[in-house]
Amino acid sequence: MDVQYLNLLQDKSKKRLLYLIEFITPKFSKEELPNVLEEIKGKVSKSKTGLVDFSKNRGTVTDLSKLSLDQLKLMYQVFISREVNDKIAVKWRLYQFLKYSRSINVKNIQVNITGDSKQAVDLIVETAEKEIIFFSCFDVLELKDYKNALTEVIKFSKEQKKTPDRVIIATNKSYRNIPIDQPFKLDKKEIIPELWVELIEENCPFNGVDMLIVENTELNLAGFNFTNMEDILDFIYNNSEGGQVAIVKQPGFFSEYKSDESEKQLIWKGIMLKKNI
Amino acid sequence: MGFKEISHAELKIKQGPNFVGIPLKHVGQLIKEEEVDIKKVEVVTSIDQASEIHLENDEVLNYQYLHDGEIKSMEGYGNISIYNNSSKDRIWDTQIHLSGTQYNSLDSETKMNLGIFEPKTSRNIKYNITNLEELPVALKFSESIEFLSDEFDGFTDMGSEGSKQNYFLMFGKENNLKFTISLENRFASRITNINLKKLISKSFYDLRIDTEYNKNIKFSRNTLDWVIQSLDPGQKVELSILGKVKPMTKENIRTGSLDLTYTIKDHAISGVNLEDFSAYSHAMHAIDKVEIDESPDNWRCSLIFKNRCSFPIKLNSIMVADKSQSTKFLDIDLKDKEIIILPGDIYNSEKWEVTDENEPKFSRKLEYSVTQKLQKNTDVVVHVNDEVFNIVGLQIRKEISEKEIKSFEGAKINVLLRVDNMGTIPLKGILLKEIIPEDFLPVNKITDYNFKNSSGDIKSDNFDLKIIPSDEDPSKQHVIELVNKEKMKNVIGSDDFLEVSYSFNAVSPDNKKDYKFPLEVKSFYHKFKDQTAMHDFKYEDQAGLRVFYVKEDVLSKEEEAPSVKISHKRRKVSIGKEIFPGRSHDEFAIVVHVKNKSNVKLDNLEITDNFPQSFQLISSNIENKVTKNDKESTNTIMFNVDSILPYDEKEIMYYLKNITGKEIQFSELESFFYS
Repeated sequence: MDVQYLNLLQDKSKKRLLYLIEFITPKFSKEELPNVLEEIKGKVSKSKTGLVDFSKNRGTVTDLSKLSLDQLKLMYQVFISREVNDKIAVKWRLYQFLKYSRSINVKNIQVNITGDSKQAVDLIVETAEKEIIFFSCFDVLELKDYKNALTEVIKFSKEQKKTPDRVIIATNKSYRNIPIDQPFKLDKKEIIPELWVELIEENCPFNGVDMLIVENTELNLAGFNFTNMEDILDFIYNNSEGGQVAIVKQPGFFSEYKSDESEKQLIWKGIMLKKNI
Repeated sequence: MGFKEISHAELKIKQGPNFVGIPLKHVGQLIKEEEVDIKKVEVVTSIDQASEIHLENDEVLNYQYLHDGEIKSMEGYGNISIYNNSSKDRIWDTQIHLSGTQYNSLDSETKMNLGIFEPKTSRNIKYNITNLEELPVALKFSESIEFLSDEFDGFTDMGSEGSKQNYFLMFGKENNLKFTISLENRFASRITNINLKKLISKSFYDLRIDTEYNKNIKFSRNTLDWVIQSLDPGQKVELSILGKVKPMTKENIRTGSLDLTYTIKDHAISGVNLEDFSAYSHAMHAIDKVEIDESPDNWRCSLIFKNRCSFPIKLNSIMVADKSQSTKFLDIDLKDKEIIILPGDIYNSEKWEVTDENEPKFSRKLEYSVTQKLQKNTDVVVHVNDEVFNIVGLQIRKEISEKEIKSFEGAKINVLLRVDNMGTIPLKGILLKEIIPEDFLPVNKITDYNFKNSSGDIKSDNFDLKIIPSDEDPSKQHVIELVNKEKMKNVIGSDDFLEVSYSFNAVSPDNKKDYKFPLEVKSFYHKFKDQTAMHDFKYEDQAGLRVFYVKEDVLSKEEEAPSVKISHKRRKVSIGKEIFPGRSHDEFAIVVHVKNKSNVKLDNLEITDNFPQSFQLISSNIENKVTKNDKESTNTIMFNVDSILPYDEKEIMYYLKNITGKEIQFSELESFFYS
């Protein structure tokens, strides 16, 4: 990431932040955004807690201009500069990722909104193959957190009367001593937990301040939405018709400083074969 | 917002900002409190507040092997982590000198200056290990795959070292296989934390483990995990997995990859060695000068060294001399002596005396360093690729043109053999062996044998023919052997067939004997992947088993092998003739009885009779043909009968009329009958 931290951002005006936040993809719906903001601020009203599925209203457009400067700042810190890496930030970034990721064939996502930053299960995904997946999010995964999380997942599973087929621990950073190859028992079922990290690709051909243009489509994407090449390719796969795809970057497009390197550069060219072609 | 799944192995070795701690080990800030406590005890008993400079040298070797043991790729790197675990003292002028760089990319000639370490900070020196091929193999591993059925000759010795073997499964049959994995510590030290993961194809069933280490093995998701706490030098362990598989399609069944990780404690396998480490921290040194009471201008001096930091300090040398350094009062080399000054302790040197009117002045030089603790470890990660089993199977069909021949009569019998390759790999050799019993004789020219596949006819000079014995004595049994010549690279390709048509002769088959014509097909498959030549051997020798797997199919059961029925057929026929008076005195009815008294059906019977030209044919019960024979003044009447079944009879009746008006005797008509 080459996006300035908020404190270093010279122009912290509402107009500037709003301009950047409008480039966050996938877009949040009217129903999603208030929940995102409340959770990352740590102020969730009791009436809004529980397992919520936002997928039905995903198409609705949100008017970001009504957000306060504080709210815009939070959005910036979580989704653009990613300087906030706590559990809730990881949770909502993961939620965004699952909307387009090809690693899981998502049918629906239930978000567990509790207002408790220590909750065990943050997201429940049902896949097209009818698998139930529990996601538990962390900022930095330590051994004791991991052990505790598995105990809490078992407890949650019993309370909700839902037995997952897979349990995925998603984290921003992880210690190396996590025994993820060891199975644990959940309702007589042996599950080997999986570990997902928010992978930032070294030598990534683009960075956060670049504009990424997918040629022959209407997709103009901000680099800060993606952390590696596979990530952006998944997004384009889900949001384009496929076929011959070329991605060019406009370096430093979102930078506060004018750069001489404004010439477009090709960063990926290939053919995307979609299943229905 | 890219998230990515990380495997357990990746978590241990992958580098990047997402992972806390250096690959495989936790050093620096990650040292747990209890570990630190243990180290304090190890250093010295009286230093409850002692800090430590902790050096950890970790090396990681990453090997990828092909299944036959050939190295596909390898990489190795090392990391030396220097950690100041003091919460208050910094160290400075830190220098490190490493040697033994035969296997690594460090510069061994010079000391490295690492400068200042603030409290609770660490610094890493990374290096690549070169010349990996020269490193010793610490843990020797091997996997052999045995085929427990005996239908495949030469197959049970699969897995011999260093050979690129082909692995086979028989199509449509239950294959019993045994995977044997063995591990042997060939290193001089104990190897610990051995984890082995073996993938097993989901096509296998009835899986069983045969080992004495059952309790450390578990199966999940078609994965076998085997944990071995440690292996002493020379110690060997073995594990066998028995399983069954029955391929019913040309599916890809894999042998299963293997992952192995282990640790060699207290060794950096590349040979990198810490020659010297030195760093300064807070210490005070002074010269205590006391003018002797009873002897003015005479001074009793000593050097005082006080450790004012939280690290133990080792004194290496002390030199005290006069200003010009011409007279040395103290010159002690302590490098080989373990003089450790604990935190807060004071070292007092021997005393010396000097005479000086004024307070004496000295030049002094002290060499000292904080002590350090060094730990070494090598972690090895091995991945062994798997192979795909080749499927082998033949469908054999034999057809014989004659289903039935007569006993003691010569006949030509045509044979059609068809061998379909149902497997995924071409046949490299084929031997067709047919036994021709006595009373029959094979044809002995190769040109009389025709060969064909999906591309068309194959020249017969691609095959050798051998008839054993080579005589033409029908009283002996003969064996036909057809073998392809070496020039045929693939005898039957995958999805192809071989058709052979030829004939043999029945000389005098005896209906009292039971003749069988069994067929034996031996198919030959390359044992090794890079095998090109057929090798010089005879198929019937055991020598062939060194280079080929040989599968034998025998067509001998009645339902598979066609047979020839020898029937004893002899004709026996009786033809009778009766003459009756007709409706008027000049008419006669003649009845011919044709009786088949044999056990064979009689076909195409032609019956002729003669009668004088003085008679005229009036009618007959079956179609007839009358021809005049003027020479003998007779008419010939001919009847055709299609067939008479065994023991059946046919009656032919016709009427004649005397046209001369003269009286005639019956006997005149009797004498003309011919059939």
